[in-house]
Amino acid sequence: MTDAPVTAAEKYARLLAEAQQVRGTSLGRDAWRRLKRNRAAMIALGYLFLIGIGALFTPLWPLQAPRMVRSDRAFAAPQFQPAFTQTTTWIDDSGAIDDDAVSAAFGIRAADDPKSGWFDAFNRQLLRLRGAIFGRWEAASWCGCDMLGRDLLARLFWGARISLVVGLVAGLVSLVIGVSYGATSGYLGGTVDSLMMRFVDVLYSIPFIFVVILLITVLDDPEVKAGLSSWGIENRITIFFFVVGAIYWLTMARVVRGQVLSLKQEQFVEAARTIGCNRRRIIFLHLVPNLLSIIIVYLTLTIPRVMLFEAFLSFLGLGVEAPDVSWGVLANEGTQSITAVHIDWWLVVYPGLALGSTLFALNFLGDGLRDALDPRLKNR
Amino acid sequence: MIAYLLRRALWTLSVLWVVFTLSFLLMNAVPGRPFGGDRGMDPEIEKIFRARYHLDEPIYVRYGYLLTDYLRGDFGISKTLRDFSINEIIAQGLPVSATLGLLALLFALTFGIIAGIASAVRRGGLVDHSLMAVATVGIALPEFVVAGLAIIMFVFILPWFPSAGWGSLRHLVLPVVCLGLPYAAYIARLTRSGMLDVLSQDYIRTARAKGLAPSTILTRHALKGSLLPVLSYIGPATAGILTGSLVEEKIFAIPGLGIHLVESVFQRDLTLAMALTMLYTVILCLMNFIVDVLYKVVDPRIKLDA
Repeated sequence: MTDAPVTAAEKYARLLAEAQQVRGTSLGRDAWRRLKRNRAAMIALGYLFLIGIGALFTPLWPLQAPRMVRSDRAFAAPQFQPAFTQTTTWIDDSGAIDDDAVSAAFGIRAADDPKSGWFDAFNRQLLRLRGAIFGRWEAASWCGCDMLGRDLLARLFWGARISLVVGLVAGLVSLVIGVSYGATSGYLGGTVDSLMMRFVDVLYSIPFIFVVILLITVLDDPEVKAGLSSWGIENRITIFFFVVGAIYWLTMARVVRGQVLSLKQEQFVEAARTIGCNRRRIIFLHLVPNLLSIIIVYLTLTIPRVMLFEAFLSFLGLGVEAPDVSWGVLANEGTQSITAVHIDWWLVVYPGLALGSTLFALNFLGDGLRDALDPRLKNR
Repeated sequence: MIAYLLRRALWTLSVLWVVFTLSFLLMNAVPGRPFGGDRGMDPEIEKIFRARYHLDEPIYVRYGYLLTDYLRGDFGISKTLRDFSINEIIAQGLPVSATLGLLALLFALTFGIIAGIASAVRRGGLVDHSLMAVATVGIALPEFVVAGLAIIMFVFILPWFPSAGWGSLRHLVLPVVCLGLPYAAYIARLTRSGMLDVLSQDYIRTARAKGLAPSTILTRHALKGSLLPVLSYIGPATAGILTGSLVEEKIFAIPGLGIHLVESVFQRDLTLAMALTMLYTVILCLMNFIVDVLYKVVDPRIKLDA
């Protein structure tokens, strides 16, 4: 109050200068700041990042070949002495790579195979790079060997690729279905909405696991399989994506619908309607981006459930087909091999650890994201 | 109340009908060969099959026949087990599976509720943290891995229990605990949060002010209110225990229904698989029905519309 009286213009100029100093923050940045303070979620994020990188560049690491059968060391215990050996068979001393050996030992198709695609080319490049970096060195069986003498560590890495892809793709399929369904239902409202939600209620009360078991049994029939492969579906995993996507979208649809119901009263939706946007544009361009936070949270919580379901199907022998591996398949092989004669704990423990730690991390990340994106939901 | 019960029963029946129709369509999905491949099928069984399931009739007639059979409680015959009708298989396996499942559910409820109350009373203590850990393990590890680790631990390293089989109490311990423990942990966490919620209510303060003993407040005043979330979790828990029992029965070699379902899938025995699917669905729907009604009984504030 000691200042000389200021004119209104000066006062506003000062306010303006002050306002310019304040930096606004976007919702995303704000959430990221909160997430960074959550130590468990950040560790989980870092771990998942490492696992993802590890799985993506699997052929680059100096691991043994995942399909190399060596009956002389069946059920061999983990060994660390020596940690690395110069024993690769698919690469010679000059560094040349034997394509046939690679396709047998790694399941990477040779370049002249008509079925070889961009992913095989990517893997081959990585293998070549590995040959250049590590030469003939490869890790010893740090995690032991399975009943055919295959190296468990290598199989864990190759299994990570399939397990993660299964979780991601099936999660995305369920997300696309759930979000479109929920957003449409919520935005249209009225009779359509209540009809669509009744349908979801019916689906909710069906125990899908049993229906899926029945479905996969039917799809496994040789004749159906032949029919499917004429559609380009070679693999049970492809079917799995659709089946899981078709089941796990229900919760997502409900949540999204609830959110849309409140969002559609907002002024930006009205504004969009005023300038003549059609319904589809409003739903998918104006409403869905505003749902992103909730969608991401539910995605991180759906992926673990999907991966567990894959493990369950693998246990029933209905999951990923040999010679492909997933963590579920490995854990199942481990459980099957438990006998009183020899306790091959590594065959159960390591796949269990891989699966468990990843699902742990996903759950922590999901919880952290939920708290970060919507602090009001915290502790609920 | 009666109108509500009727509406709820109608709803349950329509869900059952949907599952039946879905399963029937799936069974007939293989073109030209209803119920999957004939390859390797015992010719005698095949003959009986043709007659029994009216395979020469068009599909909608067969649908009618099968539906009436199911409604009469006749589940037909199996493709692989030639000396048994499916009803006999169920009669043998159901008591075993039901024992396993009910014990696991009972274990989950009693252990979960007691542990939940304990951890609510001593918040942040050892019980609280270990429950959290068990619950997260249940979320993150498939049942068969848990069971495998339990076998290694308590059968081979510490020879306390038999590894497999059925018949004595000692056979029951591992499968029941493995099956129920994740749900027990989850129920404990539900009870805990419900309990904490209730304990901060005014009427609890009133009870305390009247000078009631803490144990009386817990059991008489707080418990009922804090069990509502647990009650609504019984439905999902039953679903989980039903699927989990498939796994436990296979691992611990228990002669229940689950093992027949697993086997029927391997053998592509679709009639048996469908009958068991329907049976599991009926059990689940019944459980949900009971829970809904109980919910209404426990909490009169809940409105009576389906």
